[in-house]
Amino acid sequence: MHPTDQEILALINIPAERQAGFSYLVSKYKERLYWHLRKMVIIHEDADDLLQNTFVKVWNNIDNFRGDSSIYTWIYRIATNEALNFLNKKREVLLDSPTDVEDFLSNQIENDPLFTGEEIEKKLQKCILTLPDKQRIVFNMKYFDDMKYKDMSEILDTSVGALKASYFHAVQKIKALLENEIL
Amino acid sequence: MILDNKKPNQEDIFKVPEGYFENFDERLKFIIEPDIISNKPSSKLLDIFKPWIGLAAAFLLIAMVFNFVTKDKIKNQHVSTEIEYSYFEMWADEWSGTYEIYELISDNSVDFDDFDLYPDSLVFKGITDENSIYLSHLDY
Repeated sequence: MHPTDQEILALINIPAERQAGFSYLVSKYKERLYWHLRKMVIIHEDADDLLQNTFVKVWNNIDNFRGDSSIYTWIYRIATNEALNFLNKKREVLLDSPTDVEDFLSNQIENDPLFTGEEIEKKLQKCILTLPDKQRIVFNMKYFDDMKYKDMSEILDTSVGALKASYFHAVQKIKALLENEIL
Repeated sequence: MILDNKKPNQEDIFKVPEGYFENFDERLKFIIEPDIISNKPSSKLLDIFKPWIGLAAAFLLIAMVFNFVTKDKIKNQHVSTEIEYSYFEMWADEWSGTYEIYELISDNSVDFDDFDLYPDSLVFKGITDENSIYLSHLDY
């Protein structure tokens, strides 16, 4: 059984219990964060790197956590920024290449032995990859994670209205792509 | 339409290597471990004061070297002053008149460059103002 976020924070604030509190934090959120990252970067190894980076940053900056939001949304925000920065760097690396990031990730879905979805699920993932990064995050968080708009607003620092609009347009675009079977 | 139907389970679509989540905590610990060690209060305190201790040690060393070097120099200066002073003391006891001073200053064997004569020197002990004016006009 996982302790509550308040209990974890209380432990972390005690120097002798800091490590134990952090271990609880990792155990509680590692899987949820992993899947959030994995859906963004597709490749397991990249998701693993980003997950480690996320928790290292959490460890190094936990003293700066002001408690304005829940620790969950704070960690989620760090992970989201890690994913976005990773994709931006990937985009820079592929700048001179005929392949863009979406094509690159789409090829990974085709060739990754760790991707075991059915054909229709493969197509869905490729459709999601056509969305801009932030819209893709919104879609993943809403569609796959069933996250509340209020929590998404805190993580992405975007208004609830803008998120709703973004999700609506994302769904419309993916539906159109699947129906037309462009991919 | 897939979006309207049952949502695909992400764990069925994307696989993870066996034991990944079980081993993650341990692997993460190896990355963060150096930070945990350096965050110990005693070593953190030492890290804060280490540069200042180094600076203090450097200043102490410079002060010791400076003290050692200048000590001998001052001692030597003091000895040479004592020698000059005692020289004039010896002569001052015997000289008390203008004739003796005249003899001294006209003696070519005496090299006045060897010592400095100041107005308050013991050589001029007992010389009146009138005689000192007389002496100052002597062509020697």
